[in-house]
Amino acid sequence: MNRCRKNLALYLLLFLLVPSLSTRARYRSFQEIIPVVLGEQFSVLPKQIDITFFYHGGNIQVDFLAPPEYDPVLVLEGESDSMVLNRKGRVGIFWLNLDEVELKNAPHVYHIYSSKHLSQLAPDQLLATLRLGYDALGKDIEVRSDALEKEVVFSEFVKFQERSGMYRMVNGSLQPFKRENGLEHYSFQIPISSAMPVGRYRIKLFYFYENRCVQEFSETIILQKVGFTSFITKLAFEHASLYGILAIVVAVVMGFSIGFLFSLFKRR
Amino acid sequence: MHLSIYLPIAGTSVNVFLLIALGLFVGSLSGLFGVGGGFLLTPLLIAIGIPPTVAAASDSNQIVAATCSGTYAHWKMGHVDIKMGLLLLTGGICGGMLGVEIIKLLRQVGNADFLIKISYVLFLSLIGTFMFQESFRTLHRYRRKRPEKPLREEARFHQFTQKLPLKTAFPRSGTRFSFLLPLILGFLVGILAAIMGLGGGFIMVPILIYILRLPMHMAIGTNLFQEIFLCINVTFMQALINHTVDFVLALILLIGSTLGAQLGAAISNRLKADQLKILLSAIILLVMLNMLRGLLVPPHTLISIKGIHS
Repeated sequence: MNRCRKNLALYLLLFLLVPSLSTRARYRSFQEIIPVVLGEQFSVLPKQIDITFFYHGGNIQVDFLAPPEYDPVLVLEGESDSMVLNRKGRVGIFWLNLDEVELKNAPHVYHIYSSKHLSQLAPDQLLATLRLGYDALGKDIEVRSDALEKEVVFSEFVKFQERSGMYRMVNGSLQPFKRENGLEHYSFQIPISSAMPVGRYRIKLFYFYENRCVQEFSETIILQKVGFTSFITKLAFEHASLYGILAIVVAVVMGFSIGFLFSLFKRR
Repeated sequence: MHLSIYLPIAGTSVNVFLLIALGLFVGSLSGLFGVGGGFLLTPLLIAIGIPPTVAAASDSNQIVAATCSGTYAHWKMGHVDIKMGLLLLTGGICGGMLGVEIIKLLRQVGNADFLIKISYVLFLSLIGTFMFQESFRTLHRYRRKRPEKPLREEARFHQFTQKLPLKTAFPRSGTRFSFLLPLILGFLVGILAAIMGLGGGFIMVPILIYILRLPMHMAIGTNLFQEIFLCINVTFMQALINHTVDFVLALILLIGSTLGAQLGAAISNRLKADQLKILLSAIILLVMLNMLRGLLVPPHTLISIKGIHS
């Protein structure tokens, strides 16, 4: 924290000394100092989310600073995997599951929040390299489908993921809440739905300036089951037959017990 | 009041009171009509965000409790024919095995989904319409105090069943016919239930009433009895092979469904058989219309999670 304050003070000093420095020197100093300051002020909390019995989702608090001329973009990305899904289609007047489509390298969760529309921040090529936005993601994902074009499958996949809250793209959602000492302060909450799968998630922060990505930081957060939820999951996957028998015994005992209790109640 | 809990296998959190209310509603249908309720509960669970495969598997787990509770209530009232139930069950298990193989074959040939859904819609509309017409006619006659005449087709079929060999008595149901009949009917229902992906109560109850000529209340109790074993089998297989049974979800649902089954059985005992038939046929027709809607209305997305027919 002290180091951070020192850097901030140094940065301010540079601004005060502006008239005495040449433009080029000022720019170089700015380039050297700013990443350190921004990196140290990028805070993601909590780093680990424990899924307990009463867990019902939550938020990840992301705080960061940005010079006024920079445009920040925040990304939450889950682990990428292969997904096999049903494809619906029309047969006569009926809508039916016709075949399967497979998407490879598709993240389970993908949220992107930006200060402006992504097309205003950088050219498509750069966005594709950084995997920013649905268009960029679409280029990076491999699609296997016998009947549909890749673009159609991906667009339907995004619609499907957006309905369940796993994919989200909100342009203009990142706005500073205050400006202090020449820097804009951002405080943003990324919603974490209770349906998000366990695993590692990357939170990436990009700074765009004049159609270039000038800085990039990232943090990892872990979503994990603990206590009772972890115990039940392990039992279901590692001791499946015991788990099945337990589930049946409890159901049978509960069913007959309630039946018996009701019959006693009726007799009275 | 908002009390959410996390379901470890479903991987999402839901409101406890909502789950108990769903269980209560479906359990009362189970006690009232002798159907498992999976046809209604699985889509409702999917609608509140439970993954389809987990919804179907956990539903079968809670149906075990609901059917146990309902069977106990009906058994106390003398409405369970265990002998008949065991024969239906034996046929049902064999039919279920064949049904699974037929599904595999249909999937290889292609358009399995189309065949399943169309047969479902046709089957439910036939059963629902027939039951509705028949019970409406009987209630109408009852009001005008006219004697009930059996339909000519029904009488012919009854004559045919009486000609079958290996006759045995079913004292609890007060009937006597070949033990092959419940075996064969159980077998056929087992095939259909496996293909359609449901417990088969919707098909079995009308068959018990119209083909085996069991009294309505006896048909409900006997079907509940045999469904216990079918659902136990499904629950175990789902837990073992797919790991999709959410014990916590099933436990909360069964709190509601076991209570609901008792309430349903008590209401069922106060209603006339034909009133029950009309209600059941109305529900069958509603399910059929809902399925038809799913087939005709364009989906929100052309992609869906694997694991369910719809």
